[in-house]
Amino acid sequence: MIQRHSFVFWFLNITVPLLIGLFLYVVFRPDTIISNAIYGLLQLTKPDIRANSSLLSEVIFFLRCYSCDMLWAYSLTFACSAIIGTSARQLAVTGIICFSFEILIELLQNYGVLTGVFDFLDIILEIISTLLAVLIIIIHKKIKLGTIV
Amino acid sequence: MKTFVKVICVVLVLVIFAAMAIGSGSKKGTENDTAVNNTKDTIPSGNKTDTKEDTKKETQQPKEEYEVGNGRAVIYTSSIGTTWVQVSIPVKNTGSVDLYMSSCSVDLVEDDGHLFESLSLVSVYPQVIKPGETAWYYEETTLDNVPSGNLKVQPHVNAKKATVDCVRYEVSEVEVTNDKYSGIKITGWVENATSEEASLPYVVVFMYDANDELIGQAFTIISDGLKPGDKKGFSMSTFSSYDQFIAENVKRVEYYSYPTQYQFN
Repeated sequence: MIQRHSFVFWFLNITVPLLIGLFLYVVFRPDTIISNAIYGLLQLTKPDIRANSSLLSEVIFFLRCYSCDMLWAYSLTFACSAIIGTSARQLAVTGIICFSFEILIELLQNYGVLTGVFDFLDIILEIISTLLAVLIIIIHKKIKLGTIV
Repeated sequence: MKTFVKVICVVLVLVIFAAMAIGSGSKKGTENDTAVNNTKDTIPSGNKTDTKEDTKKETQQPKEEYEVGNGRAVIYTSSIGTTWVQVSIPVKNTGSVDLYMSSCSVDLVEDDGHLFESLSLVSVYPQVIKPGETAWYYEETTLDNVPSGNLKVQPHVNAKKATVDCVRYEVSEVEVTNDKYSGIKITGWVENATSEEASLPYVVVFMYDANDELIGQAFTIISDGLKPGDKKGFSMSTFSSYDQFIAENVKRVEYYSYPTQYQFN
């Protein structure tokens, strides 16, 4: 039962952020390759999401530009940690791999190897997401071990 | 063995996530390729989302955008009493792809909105501009009537994504002097450092005053072409009687040399 619970925990923390990210891309970034593929496959009309207020505009801007990257980094950290392990040393290795990979992806975007735009804030937010994921893994582990009630 | 399997699995995960990162990028060469936008006219004011988008994530797509600057129409009278107009309109490539410019019509409008004159086939120099560069529509022509006041310039700019290469030849030692009779004389060298022969290369010089305003332009065509490695001198004269257009007022020159190119699509 514990094992099943643990599997659900890891599975949901890997897949749900990716699915939310996919949804956000489809709604707010219809010009991306993945969104184009989905709209083409489902024969849907692309929406034109525009904000009427400056606050809503900021929210949409954040959702468009940063939220998906954060969800992607969060999911990546869980996926790597599921393979590498959850000891302190293994989480450190996971963190280093994820940080390096996130920076590498942004640099490749900067040099035009990958599509997308280099943004230093992306790196910061992705690192925060990785740290958040590591924190959740540690808390989950402590709950499982009974050190946190 | 267990570590090796873990490493393979982590690499696979990274590959999958890299693929996701690629999938979340914008596809190059889609809708924006076909639309040439005059950014001054098309950027919606007050829509923060769109303005930020233009400068951030979605700008990775090649964009054909340009900005038409303030055009100028300077009226002057020649020594024999003919009325002339000097029309100059800057067009800056604000997109991320080379632009091919072609001649356009320019309306000269009086202060009350009345159309005073419409000039057709106003030439542009240079024809192909890189992102960040500025081309000038420039024309000096006679007028049948004298306008009562200032004339506003309304160009109908023709610009599209360049499918021809942006080729440039090296221009050096440009000298601007007053011509013996009237106008300005410009001399210098042009060198073809490319591996292809230059067919009818243009040499165009823009001259700016102390306020960095364009006060005149001159061009010549090297009629016998330029072979790879060739360096030839050029000399050109303007016949403008515009009284501000004298060598002493020229504080900065900008020059280009490029081949005659045509783009039909």
